[in-house]
Amino acid sequence: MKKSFYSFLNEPKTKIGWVHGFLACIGSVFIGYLIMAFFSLVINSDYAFKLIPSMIITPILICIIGIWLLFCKSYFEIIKKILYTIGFILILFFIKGFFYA
Amino acid sequence: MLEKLNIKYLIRAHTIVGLFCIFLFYISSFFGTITLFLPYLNQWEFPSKHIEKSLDYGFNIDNKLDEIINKYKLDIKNIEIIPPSFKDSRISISSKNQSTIFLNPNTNQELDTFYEYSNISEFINEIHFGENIPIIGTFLMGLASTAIIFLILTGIILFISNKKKIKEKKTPKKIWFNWHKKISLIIIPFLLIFVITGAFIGLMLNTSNIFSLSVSQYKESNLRKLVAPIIFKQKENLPSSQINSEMLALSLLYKTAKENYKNLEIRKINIYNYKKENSQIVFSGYLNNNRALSGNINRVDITLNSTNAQILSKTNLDQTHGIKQSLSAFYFLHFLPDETIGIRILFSIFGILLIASLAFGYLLWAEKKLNSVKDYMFSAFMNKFALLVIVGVLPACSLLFVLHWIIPFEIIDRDIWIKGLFYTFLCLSFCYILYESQILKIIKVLLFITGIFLFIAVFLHGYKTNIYIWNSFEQNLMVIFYVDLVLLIISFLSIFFSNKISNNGILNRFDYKRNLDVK
Repeated sequence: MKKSFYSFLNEPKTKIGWVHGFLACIGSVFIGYLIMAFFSLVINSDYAFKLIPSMIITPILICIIGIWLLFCKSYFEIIKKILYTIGFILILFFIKGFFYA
Repeated sequence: MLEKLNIKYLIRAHTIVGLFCIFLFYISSFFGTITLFLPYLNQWEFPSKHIEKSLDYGFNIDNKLDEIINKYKLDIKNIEIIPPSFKDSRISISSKNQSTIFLNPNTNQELDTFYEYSNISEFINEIHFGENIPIIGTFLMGLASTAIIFLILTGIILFISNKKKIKEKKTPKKIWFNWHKKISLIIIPFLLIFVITGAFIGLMLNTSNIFSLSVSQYKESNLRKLVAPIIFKQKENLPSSQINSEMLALSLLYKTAKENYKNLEIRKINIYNYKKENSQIVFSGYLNNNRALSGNINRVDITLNSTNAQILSKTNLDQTHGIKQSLSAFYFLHFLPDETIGIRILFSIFGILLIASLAFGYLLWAEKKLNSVKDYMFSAFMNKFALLVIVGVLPACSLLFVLHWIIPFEIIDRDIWIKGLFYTFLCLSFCYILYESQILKIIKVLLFITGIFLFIAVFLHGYKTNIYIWNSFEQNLMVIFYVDLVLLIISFLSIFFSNKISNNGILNRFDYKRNLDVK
C-alpha cells in the first residue's frame, strides 16, 4: 500500500491533471504571500514603504512561482518544492523574530 | 530552451487558466473600455450637466457663495468648491455631511439635481470592478487579473520557446491562433498595466490583512489604519474664531494662486473658516507638466490667507511621500483621472484589441473541442455561454441607455428597476441563445437589437431633455453632441453588420447539432 502510494506520487505525468494544477495554484499563493510578508517585515521604513510595494509585487510573484511549480514531473516533486520553500521561509521568519526579540 | 514536456504543461495550463478567467475578464474589459468614457457619458446622462462649456471661467461667485452658505447653513469650517472641468461642467459647493449644491458656471444659477442620484455609468463601473457580485465580486476580478498575469507570462515563454508551428494551411484554427498571438503580443504593455493595478485593487486590497498583521506584530489587521495616517494625511480644520473679516474675491485669490504656482491646474478649492479673521483657502490640483505623479492620490496645493492673499504654504511634488507618488502613477495608468479624450481613445482601442484577443483565445479552444464527441455537450454549452458573454452583453448594455431615459427619474427605486431589467434581459438572451441552434442567426438578432436600442436611447435623450442631436450642436453642447453621434454611429454599424454577416462557414461550424450523428 505504502509502496504503491509512493510510486503513484513519483510517477512522471505526461499531462497536467487537476491535482497537479490545484497543488501549483495553492502552493504558489502560499509561497508568494509568505515571501512578500517576510519582505514587508524586514524592510526598515514606515508602514507605507513596508506594505504597498509588497502588495504590488505579490500577484506577479505568485504567477512566477506558479510556473516554477508547474514544471514538476511528479506530485512528489511538486509537494517537495512547496514544503521545502515554506519551511525555508518559516525559518527566515523565525530568525527575524529571534533577532527582533 | 524548455523541455518538450514543460512546454506541453505550459500550453495546457495556459488553456485551462484562460478558460477559467476569460469570461470574467472579458466582462471587466468590455465594461472597462466603456468606463474610459465615463466623464462624457456622465454628462450625457444628467440634464443638469447639459451646460455650454465656458472658455474663460472667472470664479465670480462671491455673492452667490454667501447666499448659498446662509441658505443651506453650510459648515464654514471647511467649504469645498469644485470648479467646472471636462468631467463635470457644473460648479459644486459642499461642506462635510451636507448635500452638494450645483451651479451653472455661465449664469451662477442653482441647478435642480434632486432626482439625479442614480446613473448607468456608475452601474457600468460597478460591473467593471465586480462590485455587482456581493462580497466576492472585487476579489474575483482581482483573481482574474492575477490569472491574466499568469497567462501573459506563460504566453511570452511559449512564444519564445515553442517553435512548433501549426502545420495546416489557412485552417480556422490557424487563423484564431495567429490573431490571438499577434494581438496579445501587441497589447502586452497595456495589458500589464491594467492587470497589475487590477490585481492590486481587487485581490491584494481584499487580502491585505495578512501583510498588516505581519508588519504590526499581529496588532493591527486593517491596512488603512496603518497606511492612511502616512499617505492620506488630511489638513485639519483651523481653530474656531468669532472675529469676522472680509475675504478677498475668489477670482482674485484664484489668480494669485495661479501666478504663484505656474503649472497647477486647480481641481478643488477648500475655504477654511469662511469669512473669519484666520480664514485660509487651499487650491489643490494636478501639475500640467507631471499629471501622473500629481494624480488623484497625490494632489499638490497652495494655501493662501483668504483676507490678504498671502502665501502660507505650497506643496511641491518632491515634498510628497514616495509611495504616494508611486501609487499616484499606478492609479493614473488605470483610471486616467486628468486625461482628456486623446489618451482615452488610444486606451479604448487597446481595450477593443484585448476584447478581440480574448474572443480569439476562446475560439481556439472551441475549435479544438469541435470534433470531440466525448466533450461535445460541454463544449456546445460553453459555446452558448461564450456567445452570451461576448455578444449578449452588447444589447444588454444598450438596454441600460434606453432604461435610463424610459424609467422616470422620480421613482425612488429606479436603480433597482434598471439593474433588475438588465439582468432579466441577459437571462432572456441566454434562453434565446440556448433555444436557437444557428450561431450566425443569434449574432444577427443580438446586433440588430443593439442597434435599435441605441437608436431609441438617442431619440429618448432628445425627447426627454428637449435637446436633440442637432440642438446640442447648435447650442454648442459639444460633449452631448459627440456622445449622441457616437451612439448613433454604433447603432448604424450594429444594424449594418447584422444585415451583412454572411454564411461564410467559419462560425457555422459551431452551430449546435441536436443529432450528434450529423457530425
